[in-house]
Amino acid sequence: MPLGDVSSTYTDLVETVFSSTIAGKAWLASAAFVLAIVQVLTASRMWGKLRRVVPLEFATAKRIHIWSGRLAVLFTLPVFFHCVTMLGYRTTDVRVAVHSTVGSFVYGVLAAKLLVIRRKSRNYPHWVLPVLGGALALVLTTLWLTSSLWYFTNVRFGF
Amino acid sequence: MYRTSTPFALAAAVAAATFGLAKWHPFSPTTAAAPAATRGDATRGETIFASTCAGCHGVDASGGVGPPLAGSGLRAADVEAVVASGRGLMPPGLVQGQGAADVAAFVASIAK
Repeated sequence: MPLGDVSSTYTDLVETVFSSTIAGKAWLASAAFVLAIVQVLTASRMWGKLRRVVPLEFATAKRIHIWSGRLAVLFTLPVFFHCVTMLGYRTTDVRVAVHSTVGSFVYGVLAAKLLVIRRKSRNYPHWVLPVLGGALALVLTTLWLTSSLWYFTNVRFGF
Repeated sequence: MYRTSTPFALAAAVAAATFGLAKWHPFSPTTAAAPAATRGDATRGETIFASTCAGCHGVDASGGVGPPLAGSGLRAADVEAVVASGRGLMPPGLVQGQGAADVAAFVASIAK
């Protein structure tokens, strides 16, 4: 399949659900952002914090943490494809430059977090996993603020 | 105990790979299309349209203060000329350079 067909096929696919590829990205990134908040809350509960705010058993919090993480990654994949392979790294203004630069770190931080989990986090200093998880949440929040929130407030709030 | 630096080195390596892929952006319509046939990038033009043009021409280009562009039959060259010279309330050079070519390509793509 020629490269041009890949991008037009992607655009056609997204536009079967959303009004444009940008609207699709804004909503998929918003879903990932909401799930990132769930990640932070359940992780906090798993580390013995926010027990009153998140009144869940450890096992329940862990299960929700794992599945919300998987779903969040799933929602970021089309966004990654469009941003990285179609639009590319850009610095046309401050918002776009910050978004492009911070966006380059999403899967890097995710890969590091998964590596620590797979190797058992107890084999690392106590601070490593929360720092990586917090960094991932911070990256996703920055990306949402510089894309979806901008789109909803400057262009339109709709599908 | 594993080396603490390993996850951070992995993060840096994946981030560098992502950055490289973003600089290449292999599925950009401009990269994929024949350069002589399409100078502008409609995908990038969509972003510019949303931020610069949609306020007057409507988010779906169906018109507002400015005339409707969707389904207007305009060609990219026509759009680029109007953007450069301005028309009505639209000042000349509202979008310039590659941005103008990109937004023209996008408008042409929805004008068909």
